Order: sequence, then C-alpha cells, then structure tokens
Amino acid sequence: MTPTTLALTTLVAPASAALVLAVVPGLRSRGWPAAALCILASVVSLGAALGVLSGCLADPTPSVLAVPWLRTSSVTVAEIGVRVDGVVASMLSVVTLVALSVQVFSLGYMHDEPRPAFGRYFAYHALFLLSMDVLVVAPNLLQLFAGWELVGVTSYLLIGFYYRKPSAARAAVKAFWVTKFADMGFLAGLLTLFVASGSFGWDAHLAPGTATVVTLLLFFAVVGKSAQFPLHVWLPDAMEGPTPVSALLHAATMVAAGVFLVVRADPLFAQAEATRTVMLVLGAATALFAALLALVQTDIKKVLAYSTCSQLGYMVAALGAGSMIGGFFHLTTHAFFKALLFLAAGSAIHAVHSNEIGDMGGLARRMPVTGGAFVVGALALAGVPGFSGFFSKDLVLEAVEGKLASLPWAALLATAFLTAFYMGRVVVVAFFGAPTGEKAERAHEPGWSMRGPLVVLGVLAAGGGVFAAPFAHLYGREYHFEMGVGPSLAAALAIGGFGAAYLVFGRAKGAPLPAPLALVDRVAKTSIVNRVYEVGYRRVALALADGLAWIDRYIVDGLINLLGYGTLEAGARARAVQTGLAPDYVLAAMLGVAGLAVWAVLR
Amino acid sequence: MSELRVLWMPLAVAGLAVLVLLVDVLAPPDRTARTGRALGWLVAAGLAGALGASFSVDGSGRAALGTYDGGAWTTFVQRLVVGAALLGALGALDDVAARTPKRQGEYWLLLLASLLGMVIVPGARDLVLLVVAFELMGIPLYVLAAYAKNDRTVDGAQSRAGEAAFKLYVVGAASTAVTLFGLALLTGMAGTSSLDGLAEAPATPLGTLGMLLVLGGIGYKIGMVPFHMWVPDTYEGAATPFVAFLSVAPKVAGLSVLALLFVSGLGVHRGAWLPPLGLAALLSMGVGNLLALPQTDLRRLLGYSGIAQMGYVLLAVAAGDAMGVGMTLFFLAAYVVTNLGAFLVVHAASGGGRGHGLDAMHGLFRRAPFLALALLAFLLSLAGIPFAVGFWAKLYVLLAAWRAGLAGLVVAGIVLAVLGLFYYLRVLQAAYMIDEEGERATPRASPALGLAIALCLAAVVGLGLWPAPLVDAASRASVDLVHPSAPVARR
Amino acid sequence: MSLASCLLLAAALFCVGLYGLLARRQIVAILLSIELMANAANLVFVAFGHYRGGALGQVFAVFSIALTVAEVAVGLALAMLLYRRHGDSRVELASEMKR
Repeated sequence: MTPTTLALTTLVAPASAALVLAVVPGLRSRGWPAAALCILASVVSLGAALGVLSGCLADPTPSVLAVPWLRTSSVTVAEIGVRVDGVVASMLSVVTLVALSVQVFSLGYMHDEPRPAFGRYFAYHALFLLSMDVLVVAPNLLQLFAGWELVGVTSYLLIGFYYRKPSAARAAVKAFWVTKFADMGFLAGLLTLFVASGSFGWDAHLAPGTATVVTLLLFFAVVGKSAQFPLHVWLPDAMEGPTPVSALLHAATMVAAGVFLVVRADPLFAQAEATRTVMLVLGAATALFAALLALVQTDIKKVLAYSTCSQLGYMVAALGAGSMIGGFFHLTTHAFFKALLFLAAGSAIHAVHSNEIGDMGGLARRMPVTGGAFVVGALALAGVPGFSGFFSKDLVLEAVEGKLASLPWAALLATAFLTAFYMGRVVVVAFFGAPTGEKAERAHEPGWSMRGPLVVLGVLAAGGGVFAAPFAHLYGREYHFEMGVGPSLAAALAIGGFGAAYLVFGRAKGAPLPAPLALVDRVAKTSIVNRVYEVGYRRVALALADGLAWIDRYIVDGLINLLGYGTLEAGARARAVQTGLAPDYVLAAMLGVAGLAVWAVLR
Repeated sequence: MSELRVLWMPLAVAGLAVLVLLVDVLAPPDRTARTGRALGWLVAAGLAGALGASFSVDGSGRAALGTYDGGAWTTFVQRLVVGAALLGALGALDDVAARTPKRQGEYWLLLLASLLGMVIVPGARDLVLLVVAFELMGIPLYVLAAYAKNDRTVDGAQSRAGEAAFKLYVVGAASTAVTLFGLALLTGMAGTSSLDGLAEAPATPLGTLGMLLVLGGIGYKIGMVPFHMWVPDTYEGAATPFVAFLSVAPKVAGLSVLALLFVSGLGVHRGAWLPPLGLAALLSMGVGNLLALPQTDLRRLLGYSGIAQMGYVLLAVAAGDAMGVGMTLFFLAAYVVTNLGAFLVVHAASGGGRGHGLDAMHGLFRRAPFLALALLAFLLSLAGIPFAVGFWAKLYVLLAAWRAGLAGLVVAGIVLAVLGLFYYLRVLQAAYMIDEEGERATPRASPALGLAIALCLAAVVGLGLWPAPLVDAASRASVDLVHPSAPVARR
Repeated sequence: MSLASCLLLAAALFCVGLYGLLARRQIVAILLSIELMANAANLVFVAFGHYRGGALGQVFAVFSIALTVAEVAVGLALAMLLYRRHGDSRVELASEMKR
C-alpha cells in the first residue's frame, strides 16, 4: 500500500466507525459495541499511521493524493485529499497512539457511566480522531481549516460531556467561544493568503508585508487553540471534562494543532520575521506566566492544565526562533509525557474520588504503577537528563539561545526550574508522605485497562529521547547531542527544582506557603485576566447585546413577522384559485396560451 | 447496422418491454403474483443494465434519415430518465405487488412505454418524431396515474386516483391540441419539420406564434405556471411511488425539449421567447413557493415545491448559452435524485395508515431514523443548503442566469428561494422536533424501497460533497447542443 | 379560398372547441371539445400542405390523427372510471381535491 492510501486509511477507519455509530440504532445505547468499534477503528488507524511512518523513514519524499474540490470555470481553486511527508507521518503516529491509549484507559475510567453515555463518549472519540486526522493530512490550508473547525466542534462535545453539570456546560461553551474567536484570525488569514497568492497552499511566495499579515492572523488562531496568553483562559476551565479527554485534547492533540499549523505553514512563517519575533516573545512569556500559576493550584488537573500552557509556550517560542524541529519534537515528547501525567492523575482521581492534591497523599505506596507513571512523567516534563523531555527541551533552548539578548532564553530556563518545582510539589504532596484522609488510605490500583496505557506511555516518555535522531532524519537534518553548558544548566535547574520542592513541601504538610509563593498565590487568586474578560463581557458586550436585542426584537423581528404574516396570508388567499374543477385548470392554461399568442403577434 | 448502434437505447427499452410482455403472457396463471414481483425486479435489472451500458456503448451519429441523434446530449438525458425509472421501479415494486397482484405486468409495460418515449425525446431532431415520442411519454402516464383507483384512503374514503388521472388528462390533452396547432403553424411556415431546417428558416409572425404555442404545450408537462394547476391534485391523488417518478422524469424530458428547441434550434429567435420564458420562470417561482406555504399534505407541498424548482431551472434555460444549458442538465440530475427520494420517503412514512399529512412525520427521527436522515438530506437539497447537491444546482443555475444578464430574475429567485426554506424546514421540524403520543405503526421501508431511498441519499450527499464530475459531464453534453455561431445544418 | 381563410377557420374551430372544453359540464362533451381542438390543428397541417406543396402537411396530419385517437381512447377509459365511481359523468364530481 502506498503511503497516501495508508494515510487515507487513518481517515476512513474512524469515519466509518463514526458513521456506523451514528446510523445503526442500538449500538450507542448498549455502550460496549460503540467502545469496541471505536477502539477497533483506532487500532486500524494506528497501524496505518505506523505504516506511513516506516515508509517515510525509508523514503522521506512527500507525496500527495488529492482530488479537485472547489472549482470556478475549470480552474481548480482547492483540492481535498491526503499529503504524506515527515511532519505528517510523525504527527499521525503520535495522535493515533495517544488516542488509542486514552480510549483504552477510558474503558476503565468511564466504566461506571450509564450505558448510553458510555456509547456516546466513544462515538465522540471516533469523531474526534477523524477530525484530527483530517487536519493532519491536509494538503492545503483550507482542508486544515476544515479539520481545525471539526476538532473545535468535537472537543466541545467531549469537554461538555457531563452536560448536565452547569460548570461543565459553561466550560465547554467558553472553550468553544474563545477558540472560535481566535479562528476568525485563521479565516481572515486564509482569505488574505488566497487573495495574495490565488491558492491555499503554504508554499506561496508573498511580499514581506503580506506574509507578516497572513502569518500574524494565523498566529492569532494559534494563540487561541494552543492557549497562549491572553487567550489561555479556557484551558483550565476545560478540565471539567473527563480526565481521559483532557489527556487527549489538552496534552497531545487539540492544543497541539496550533503548533502543528505553524510547523505546517513553516514556509510562510519563514518569510515573516516580525511574526516570529512576536511568537518568541509571547511563547516565552506564556511559559513563565503559566508556570507561576501552576505553582499555586490545588487541583491536580489544573496544575497539569497550566503546565500544558507553559509547555506550549516552549513550542511556540522555539518556532518563533526559527527551529521547526525544536518545536515539533517537543510537541511529540510533550504528547507522551503530558498524556501520561493526565492519565496517571486520572487514575489517582478515580481512586480517591477527588481532584485536590490535598485529598491525596502517599499514593505511590498504594498505587505503584500509577505513582511510577506519574513520577516518570514528571521527570520527563521537567527535563531531567535521560528522559525524553530533556532532549526536546534542549533543542528548544538551543534554538532560543542568543535571540533577543537571550531574554527569552533566560525566561525559559527560569520556567524549567519552576516546572520541576511545581511538579515536584505535586509528586511530593500527592504521592509521597502520609495519606491525608481515609479516601487516600483506601486507594488501590485500577484495572489493567487503566494500567496498560500508563505503562506504554511511561516507556515512551522515558525513552522517547531515542526518537530524536530518526525525527531529525525525517526532515533531512542531522541530530547530534553534546552535554554542553546549556544542557547542563537545564539539567541542574531541573534537579534543583525537584530538590527545592522536596525541601519546601516534603517536610511540613499543611504549612503555609513560603512568602514568594504566597504572593504568587494572591495574584493568581485575583485571576486578573479572567476579570478583565468578565468586565469586558458584562459591561461592554452584554450592554451592547441588550441594545441590539431590543432593535432585533421590535424592529427587525417586527418587520420579518409582518412579512411572514403577509406572505402566509397571500399564500392562503391564493390557494382559492385551485378550485378543483378540471376545466378551470384548462382555463388558466389557455389564458397563458392566449398571452403568448398576443405577445407573438405584437412582436 | 450502425443505425442500430445509434438507436441502441430506444431499442433496449423496447426490447425490455417486449420481454416483460412475453413473460407476463407466458407465465402460468396461478403464479401471477410471484411473476409480477419477478417482473418488477426484471425491469429494475434491465434498466440498471441499460444505464450501465450507456457508459460503454457509443451511440453517436444520426439514424432514421437524420431524425434521431445519439450524441452526448441524448445520452446524458437518457441516463437521467433511465435512472429515474430505475429508482421509480424499485420504489414502486412492493406497492404494485400489493395493490394489483394479478396485473403487475401492465404497470411495468406502461412504465416502459412511457420511458421509451422519454429516451427518444432528447434524440429527436425532427418535429414529427419529437411529438410522437412526447405523446408516447405522456399517454401511459395518464393510465398509470389512475392505477390506485381501487384504494381506500386513511379515513376510509375512496381513492381519488381517478380524479387525479382525469385532471392530468384533461389539461394534457388540451395542451397536446395546443402543441399540435403550434407545430402546424411552425412547420407550415418553415416548410420543414427538421430542427436544423427550422433554425435556418426566417422568423415570421405566424411561425413565432407557433413556436410560442409549443412552449405552452411543453410547459404543461413540466408544471410551469400557468400550466401547473394539475400538479398538486395529481400528486395527491395518484399512488405516491408513481408520483415520485412522475415528478421528475417528464420534467427532464420536457426541459430537454425546451433547451433543444429554443436554445439550439431556434436560438436566433431569442428575443421572441425570452420575455415569456422569463415571466413564466418568475411566476413559477412565486406561485410555487407561495402556495406551498399553507400546505399540510406533503404530496401537495412537494408538488408546489416542484413548480418552484422548475422556475429556477427555467432561469438557466433562459440564459440561452452553453453554460445555461449545461447547468440545466446538472440541475435536472440533482432534482431527479432529490425529489424522487423525497417522495419515496413520504411514501415509506405513510405506511400502516399514517397518511401523508405533516402529522405523519411526527416522531420520525425516533421511529425511523434512517428515513428521517434521508428526509433531512432531500429537504436540505431542495432548499439549497450546502452541502447537499441542490445547493450546487441552485448556485450554478443562478450563476448561469447572472452571467447572461438576467440580474433581476436572479435576485427574485434568491428572494423567493428563501420562502422555500420556510416550508421545507417546517417538514423537518415535524420530523425531528415533534414527537407523538400513541402507538401508530412505525414507518418501515421494504428492501426495494429502502434501496431506492438509499441510492437517492447516496447521490444527494455524494454529489453534494463532490459535484465536479457531474458538472463536467453536463457541460460536455451541452457543448454538443449549442452552436456558437449561426446554426449549421448537420449532414 | 386562400391559406389565410383556412387558417382563420382552423382558429375558429379551435376556439369553439376551447369554449366547449371550458363551458360544458359533461365529461364526454369535454372530450369531444378536445377532439375539436385537435382537429383544428389537423386542418392547419392539411391547409399548409395544400398551399405549400410537399408531403409534410399530410404526413404530419396523419401522425396527429393517430396520436389524438390514442389520447381519446385513454380519455374515454378515464371517463368510464369516473362514471362507475359516481354514477354520473358531471365534471364537478371530479373536483374533490382542491386548494
């Protein structure tokens, strides 16, 4: 099978599953058939993705299989289809692997849900995988946008899965709203690109000004999708969704789509240095800012959420510094260890029935696999030498070093320390020490369906560093690593961060936060960014909306109602013409004929 | 011998009819019910075979002393009508078997006879052949419309199929007389009945009069205002699976004749026929949409909707150029699958005494989700909503008219199409948002009917997502027809 | 007698038939009127054939007659159907469907 047909398979499998689940009655309401179908489709997808990957490793030349879709009088404006190259191959593999792991994990995690909800959950998963695949294999930005929007919709469905819970419904709406708002940038950027270059491809040569405009607009969408400051506000709230969903969407796939867009459109971004600078600054700032916020969270998922923001900031910064490989490799390793962390957190949450780290404690002894997985994930995230995160962070730091007076570099190094620190805090408080209540005492290891994915992802998170070389090979670059100043400094900061965490949090449980942290905590609690949005929303937007609503209800609607009523009346009156008598019908016809005859004669 | 190759499609249909006749006559009398069903499947298989063969047999060229042309235009239209007949046959199979188990062969014979007329019509290049084929198409339809004459309706009243057929007939016969009168004037003044000869003849007042009378006659067949008044009554009274076929196939044939006569043969006289055609299009869109609004019987609603749809496609005919003709063909193809499918869904949903009103649709999404889904696709297509094929059809038709300078009509078309949204969505609302109490029978589609609906659904969705191949085929077929300069007689 | 007067006669016949179609209440009378209209057309065919020469007029007229006959046969059958249904053949009886 050619690479493109394999790539097509990754689309067809979840699409078929979703279609069958949508149409055939009874599959979803019984629950397990939906899960089986979805997981089967994911396995097929994964197999195909790995096939694509091995094909690309052997021969990295890109190939495209597309058909014309949008045409205007014999000029093809856009195609739809699949494109296979190094970027696609690696992303597809990551996405399908994490998706499958999450789905298997969900078998255990969602086990207590009522059967119809269980089935619905897996139907959504199939749809999500399809959307993500459409996005990844897109041969042009138009199809990518279509996949982007589909991902937005399916993530709304998944985040709002517990739709009966008001906070969950609100969170889903907020996520959708913020990302939709950002998507306007994508649309505007697409249109500008089309007007400037006549197509939706990313290999167009644009004038520098145009390139900047287009890439800035596209980056605006990335800020939303990848939760960068100031559009990061939806991500912590999105933790209302089931934890496996957070593992999939907010670790590996949906938020990574923004980074993927920049990687994909690299030729465009390469023509816009200004945008890259913006990205570098914003990415580094977000990384630092989010890491600070992660320090003071007590909900384990919120820690991981802010952590994701922060790591995405790393990726954005790397891309802003011009290193596509740095950003993309970090995306890959992040997918593995963040998903691992979320799933392990999910296992812990499932055991103690609470998200708060304060309710946990000493879990490592009671749940060794979960504890081990979480620790491995934390070490990888922090960038401890030997783990996958170390190598990917190193690539990022290497790229950012020296740019803009090395200020971003310094920020990212500081963030590295903070990352280790806040992760260490969670590890120490939740997994070591004494249990803080009877729930924590009675915690026990979950079934194999939840442990299996933890092991798989754990291995990948730990040993993912070996992928660096083949990864680079896919893009025709060489990878070499040496333990120079930069990596050593980063390693030291990581280890130091863990040490500091142990010192601060390992000793006195329940002691008040040290002064600097207390300050951060106070600031975080004001959640100033959210406040700004809220005021803007309530005072400005709602007031405007009220005014417009009045106009809409009384003037516009009134007009429409009048028109509608009038039309209906006209229709009702006009009916009377149909008398039911056949000769009358002929009369009408003959009147028409007479009209024609008169017209003919007059001409 | 090559003449036979050119005439292969009419011969195939005629051969199929003869085969059906023989089987029906020779079948043992005590097995007529089973034979009838087998005949139905035979017809479906034969039509499917003819449809498939149309893609490999090349029938181009002239036959019968130059009166029949078998080129790309003819083939495209033939595929449409044969496809419509195939879907209509599948849809009607069980209905016919249930209604008149002993006389099913008659139904199939009449259907094939009408189809024979329909496959000759697009290829006719001589007015004599044209009018004979046109009538051959129409007369069996009168009989078929009365087929359900012995039924009882939901409330126990007697079926009104007889009345439906009668109205179809009276208006039809009157139109035939008008058409013949017009043809007499036209051919008398021009001195020839071949279309190529007509194109070369000078325009005379009587000739123009004749031509416009012919327009009236054809207008009846396609349900154009003001020749439309039979449509809602016939659609309501006749058996619904037959109406599904009636609502699409004669329209295809009629519009192909219109395009043939007015755009290719008599394109030079465009100034004469454009204003009446434009007015008829405008009135059709208006009357169709307006009178559909208060309807509660789904069959009448779809009837009026069909009148409005004819208004839209007439815009493309009025454009009078190659693109207009091509988009007419595309619209017709989209319309065939959409409207036929919609009627078949209405038929399926009406089973078990539910009737054909809007309230028969209540709870459809729950009781028969597949039917509801198909209904959704068909109604969205009729309303012109992306990405069902009807969206592309409307878009291209309006584009063609706009390009030809008919801006006013295009604007009117868009405005009136919005009206259409209202009654289409009302049906969807009944199907998806209103549920019913009580235990009426669940709508069920038999295998043949379900297959027909599924094929229509696949076409509507598939072509809606990917219309390009069909658009190309339609454009290629219409190039065949339109001569860019003054018409040249074919040798 | 000129072509023009033949055509006028045909037009007059057509109108008479049309009037009958619209005004008569008995279905059979309506069918007769339709016949009259069709024959008016035949008259035009033949008239042109005579004054123009050539066989076209006659040929077309013969075809036209054949078509009309077929049509009327069906029409009579439908009239029979309605008569059996209602016991009478007034056209108002076939107007249950309306609006």
